Amino acid sequence: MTTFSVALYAQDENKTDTLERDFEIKPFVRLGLDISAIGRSIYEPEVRQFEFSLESEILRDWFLNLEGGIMQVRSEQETFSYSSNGYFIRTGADVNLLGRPDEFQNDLVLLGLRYAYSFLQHESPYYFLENPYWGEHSGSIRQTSYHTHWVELVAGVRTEAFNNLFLGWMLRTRIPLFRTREPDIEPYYIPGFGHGKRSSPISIHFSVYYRFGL
Amino acid sequence: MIMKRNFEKKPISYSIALMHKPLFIIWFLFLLLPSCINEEICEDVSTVPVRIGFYFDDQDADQPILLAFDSLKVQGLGNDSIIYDYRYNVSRIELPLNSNDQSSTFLFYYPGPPEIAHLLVDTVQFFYEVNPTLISMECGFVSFFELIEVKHSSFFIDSIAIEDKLIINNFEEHIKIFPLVDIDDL
Repeated sequence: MTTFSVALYAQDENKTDTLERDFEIKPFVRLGLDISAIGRSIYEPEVRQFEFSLESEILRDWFLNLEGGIMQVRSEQETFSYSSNGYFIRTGADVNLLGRPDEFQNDLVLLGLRYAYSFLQHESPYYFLENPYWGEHSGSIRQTSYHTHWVELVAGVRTEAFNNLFLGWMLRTRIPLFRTREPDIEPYYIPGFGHGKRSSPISIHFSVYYRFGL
Repeated sequence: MIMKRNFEKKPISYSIALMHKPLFIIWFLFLLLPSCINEEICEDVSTVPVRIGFYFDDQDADQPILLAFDSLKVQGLGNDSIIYDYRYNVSRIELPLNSNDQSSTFLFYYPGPPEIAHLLVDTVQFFYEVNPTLISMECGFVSFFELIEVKHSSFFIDSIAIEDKLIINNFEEHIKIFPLVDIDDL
């Protein structure tokens, strides 16, 4: 009797191992929307940015990413007028550090890399500068284009809050590679990158995702 | 067959990640709050000044030695207003550049008897590019500058060094002026 019980236990162990290791990756696309932009638009309504992401698991725990978005800045005040339009794209891959013990485990702890490109056109039809010593200065800046290339290191988590609906945040740190040299004016906001020269070294983005099975 | 999620067999990193869903969702919403806080404070200045220090270049020292003028008057050429009116014990000064032009000239008056005071003067001319920059929606545009060249007369100024050619909104010193100094006076 004792021998029989041990044999059953061993069989169960084998079964569990098989379940853990042999489940198939079901093809899917996860669509994400960056909801941080909603928070930003409250304190800085002049800047509007829409950002989405698409990702798919190409190998177990490896995700291919495509991210993009558009941006618009409009501000007309007594002392200046400024407008800007642009877009950005990012592509790269994430690895899931949690691993997936079974096919129901969809929560992720991600580490990844992106290559990013951004383009914008901006202008300032008028601006006034107070100078207490030399007197007021006024001018305008014609519409010009601005390009930026950079790489990003990203890290974050995603958890399945409801069936196929995920919440998550990503920390992003950016390393500029190339940008338009000697522009007439530095851009106020670079799509996908943040505030031109004021951009913080690390930013946090919150997103909502939905997973579509294929 | 009903399969149960096997939490016992998940890696240790799973526990570290604290993925308990209700807590995570509350934490997620809580983290959204800081992004709504705007701490932008505008300084009441739309033109960043060029910052200047006076130094003696001691060959035996690693760094130039900061000097102090007993008294110094500074005025922009073509402007009646006086920026420093024989201020005592001056080691560092800040001068406003003219955003309407590509150069600004300043007169440095040194103390002396009234009848010859107008002769004890040096002229310093800054050449630059004006870079108007939108620093924030609250603060608007500010004039930043990129220094190209500094010329000077040599009544009391031996040489001038550009330390930082970008005049932007930080507190870096841009220019070092080396006056003619008798080492016995130090």
